[in-house]
Amino acid sequence: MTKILYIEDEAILRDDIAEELHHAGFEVATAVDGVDGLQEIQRVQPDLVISDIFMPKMNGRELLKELRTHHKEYDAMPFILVSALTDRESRDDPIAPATDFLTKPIDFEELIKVIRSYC
Amino acid sequence: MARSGGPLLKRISLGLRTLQEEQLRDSDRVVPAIAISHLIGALPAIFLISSSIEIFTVAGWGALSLIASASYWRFCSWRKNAPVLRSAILREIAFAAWLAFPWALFALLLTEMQTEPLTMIGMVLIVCLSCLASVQLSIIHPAAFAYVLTLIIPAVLYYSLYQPKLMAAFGAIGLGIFLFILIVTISFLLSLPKRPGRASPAENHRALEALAKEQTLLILRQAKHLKDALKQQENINDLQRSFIAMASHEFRTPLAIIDSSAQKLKSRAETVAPADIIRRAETIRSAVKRLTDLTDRILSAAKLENGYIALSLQNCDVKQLVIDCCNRQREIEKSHRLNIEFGELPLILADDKALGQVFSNLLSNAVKYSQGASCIDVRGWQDGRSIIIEIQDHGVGIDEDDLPKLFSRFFRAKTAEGIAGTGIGLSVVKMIVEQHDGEVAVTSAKGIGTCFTICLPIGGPGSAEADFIAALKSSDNLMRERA
Repeated sequence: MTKILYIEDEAILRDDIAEELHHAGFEVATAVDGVDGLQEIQRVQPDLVISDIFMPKMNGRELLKELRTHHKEYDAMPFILVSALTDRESRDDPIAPATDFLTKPIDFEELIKVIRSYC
Repeated sequence: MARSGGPLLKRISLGLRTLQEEQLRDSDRVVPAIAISHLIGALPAIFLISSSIEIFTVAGWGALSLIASASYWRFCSWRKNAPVLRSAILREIAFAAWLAFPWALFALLLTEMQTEPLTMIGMVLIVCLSCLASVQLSIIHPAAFAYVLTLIIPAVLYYSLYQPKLMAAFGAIGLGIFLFILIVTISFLLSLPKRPGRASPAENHRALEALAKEQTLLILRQAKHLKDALKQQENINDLQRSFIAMASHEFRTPLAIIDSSAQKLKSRAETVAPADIIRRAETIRSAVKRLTDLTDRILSAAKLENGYIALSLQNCDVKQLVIDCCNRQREIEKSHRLNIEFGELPLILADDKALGQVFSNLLSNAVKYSQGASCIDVRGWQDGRSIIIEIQDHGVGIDEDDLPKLFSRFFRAKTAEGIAGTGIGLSVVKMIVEQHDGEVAVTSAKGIGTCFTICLPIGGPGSAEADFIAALKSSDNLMRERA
């Protein structure tokens, strides 16, 4: 079963998306911020990570940068950022580019489709 | 440069001052002009003495000199508009005539002094005045000092010899003119400004170095100003960029919650339990409230930025207002316990809607920045002619160097990194409180928590209490400055 890690500080959204992913047949783990997310990645070893950008302690971008620079073993792991910004120029980071972007509000069907395209 | 009215001496003094200003401005050209003027001035004196011209002729010359002098002063007032070349020629002619006048009188004294005692006394007085004028001229430039000497030396010589004969006068004047030309020439040469061509290579080098240093300093200073301005602009741009990103996030998160609930309800329409529907409806309402608050905050900030918003003042129960805000906050976020401690508070004259926004902003901030802590303290009491409200959290706190900038628009403290927010809430708080003639203060310790204190005058803005708060505030500022 494909393992997904969903990182989001907003509890309601986190629970809803996790439930939806579980319903779609994925094994789901969640984290509340970047620091928690890094620990979960090492513990769960997910096949794909979906992370919000704005979060306390460590945001999604910082987590991605940390993974790509200090945890090379996860280089192949798709990392999808959930951004509030719609234009790719503002969302992309040349140092640690995300595998893909999703825009809030997230459409569940589109989310499943994107995950399936990578796993 | 008064040209009409006032005593003659004052006018003369003003005229001389004008001369001085002119000469200081372009001494390079005026110095030779003075020398030439002195020579021209000496010629009629020699002519008078040698040919014994009648007194009327001398008086006529004096009158012409006076007219020329008056023209010179008049010209001074026009010179700003006159073409440069014309002004220079006119000035030199006028100056020559002006100097000729005392010379002519001095020559007259030498020729006529022994005829009648009264004439002699008059002439002595005129010479004294001429000497006085010359002394004044000598203040202007060293070249003019020579003129004083040429007046005094022949006189001294004449009186020491006391020869009534005309030949003695000739001798004295001749010697005077000789000394005059000598001194004027020397002083003229000495007073010439050093030109780069005449300076030694070492001097040229030093001058160039000094110039280069001065220009470099100027360029560096300008570059610093430009750099500062650029940095300031970049800071503003950064703040605006981060505001757009955060505002976008702040709007889209509640929208995502609403959308998520709607999708859930739609996909599970047939199996969803009534309790779930209620829970979802509550979630949606809470997200809508977040959006409304955010919209209000941004609109208020925009309004306040463009000037004052019109306050609707009425008797306001601040205690009840704060309790209502606390209850609304509990509905949005149940994670924190709000400890409310209020003494008896009088009604105050205020805009309850605007103040409600102040307390909502502070409470939502307290919750947002103290995720690890469980309680927030809200206190209120009366302090003389004001009421004080304190909202204290036990969260991340604020760095000391961020505190002065905390109420600036779009500013976000370092400890707020990763926590959603637009950076406009506190600027709105400050503007609204100040519009009520109140004061907002903040104390914070990083990792321990933050306390916001609001002080509002009971009589509302413009009241005696408001003046009292303003006086306290200014004395506080004064003490801080002194410290």
